[in-house]
Amino acid sequence: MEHSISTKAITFKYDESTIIDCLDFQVKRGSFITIIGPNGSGKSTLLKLMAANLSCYEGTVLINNRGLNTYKMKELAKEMAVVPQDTSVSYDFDVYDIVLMGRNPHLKRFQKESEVDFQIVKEAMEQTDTLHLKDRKINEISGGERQRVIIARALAQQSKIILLDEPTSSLDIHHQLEVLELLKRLNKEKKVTIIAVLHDMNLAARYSQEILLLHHGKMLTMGKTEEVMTVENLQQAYQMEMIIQRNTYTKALEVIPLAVKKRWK
Amino acid sequence: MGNKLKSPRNLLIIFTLLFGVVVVASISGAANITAINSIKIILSRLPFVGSNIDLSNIPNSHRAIILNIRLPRILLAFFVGYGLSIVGVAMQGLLKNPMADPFIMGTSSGAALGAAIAILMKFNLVVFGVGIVSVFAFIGALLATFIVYQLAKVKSKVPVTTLLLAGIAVGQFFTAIMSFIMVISSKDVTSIVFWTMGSFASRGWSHLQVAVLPILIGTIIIYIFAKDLNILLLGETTAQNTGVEVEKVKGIILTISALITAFAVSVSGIIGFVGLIIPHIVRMLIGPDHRVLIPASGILGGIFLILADTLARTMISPTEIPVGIITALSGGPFFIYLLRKSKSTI
Repeated sequence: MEHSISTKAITFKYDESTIIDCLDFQVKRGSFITIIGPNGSGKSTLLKLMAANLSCYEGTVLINNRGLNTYKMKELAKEMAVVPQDTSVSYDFDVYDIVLMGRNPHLKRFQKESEVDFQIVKEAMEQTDTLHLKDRKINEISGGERQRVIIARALAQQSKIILLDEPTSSLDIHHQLEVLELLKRLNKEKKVTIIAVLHDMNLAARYSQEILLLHHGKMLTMGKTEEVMTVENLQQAYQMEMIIQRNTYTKALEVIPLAVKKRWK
Repeated sequence: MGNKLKSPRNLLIIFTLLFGVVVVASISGAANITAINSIKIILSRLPFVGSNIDLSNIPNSHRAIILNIRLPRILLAFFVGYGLSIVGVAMQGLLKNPMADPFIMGTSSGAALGAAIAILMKFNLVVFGVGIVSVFAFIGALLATFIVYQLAKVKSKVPVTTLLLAGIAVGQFFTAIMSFIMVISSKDVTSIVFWTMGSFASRGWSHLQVAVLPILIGTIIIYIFAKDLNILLLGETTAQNTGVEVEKVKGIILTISALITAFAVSVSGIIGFVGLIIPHIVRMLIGPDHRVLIPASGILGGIFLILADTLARTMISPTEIPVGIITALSGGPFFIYLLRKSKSTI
């Protein structure tokens, strides 16, 4: 079986505390996986380890069965695009230029962007509903608009894998759904492997085929959405009383939090 | 990207401006030389057109003043301003910090200390055409840059406040050591003032020869990384995920910046604020794209320093004042303006 990403016993420590503790999992090519878990469970750190922004203390991450650290940055950027949580940009670039930067891994150092690149950028901007912003300055537009611009930049990279760190956290419900619909479409039509950290369990349940539930840097469980989204699993991770039911309109599982449980200590 | 800015019209404007400033600078001073004559003398040294220009009715003394005294000094001012501005652009982009510049980063002070040590220990060796003085300046510049960068870095970011604090501390410390060494060895306080505030007094072709090639090569190398500098503005991790070898680029740019600064300082002393003001003005005019920003800042920085130097030698003539006074007079208020503007983000 071909895996897009797999990890072999990865561990990450910050000072002496262990953030990610010996994680082993495989992501099949073309799957849509969300990583959920309470605050401080290591979701963002895990994503950064997969994106090669942090290096593992122990263990290795494999992309297409090849060690992450054997890739050149440009090679890696062709395989994998990343949408970070912090999308601030230091000086005022035009939105269009920012998206165009996504073509960098495909260009040699002195190569100019061609018509093909401009076309790809235009498509990426249409898909994310940002084309009308193209002449605006990146720091003049709203946080939600900027988020979509950064997603457009990731799309322009035309990679087979996209990692996203809470891509919907600064968006209103309209654009939350729009972004997730877009990811779903990319996943279905272009077979892009999507791995997203999401805070919102209901959105995770509705859009992803598989869920990885993290707790204190360990994998509590990983599998099909229905298998992971059980009261037992979620109670253990979130220390909450809750009900899980199937939403009559979306047909997706949804969590209704009831009360906070006392932490057992 | 930025095509509207590279139009021939703008290039024409900037080169006309440059030529005009060179001419104005060449006729300012005690000897009364007309602009026409000065242009003729300068053009006579150019290849191809040079042989067709008739200099017979221009006094020899004027030719000597322009060619041996003013022209090399003007060119040197241009290349120092050019180099320092490009270093400023590169550092501001790399550290995503609007306050970065070779003076504030302490790079210039490090270079000056290195050069002063070599000069006072009478190391006059020349290896492969590179003077030991420049080598020492380079080592000093690298050391200062490295210390300031390590001190100012918070995780992978370099915030404005820590950069200013670290830069001032290290820069002043290096300058103090340098002044001390100079006082005990020469007792000539004036030369210390000129060295720590920068000056082109009595600089000639030999100085230009030392500095011009390293500065040019250095800036070309920085230009090669223009696209990477653009992408780095999105943040280091994002740049990495977009295919930039961040650590490698950072190492190269900081080293080359130290190199350019070292050669600039070893022929002119510490000239502050050029690398700070010019990139900002140019960025306001043409935007942040480094592919245009780097060359434009270089040329504008050169023009600025020619003007500043002309003021420095003519303002209270025949006494020269350090050119650093002029750049600080214009740069100081600008620096305060920048600080006020970026206060909200600190």
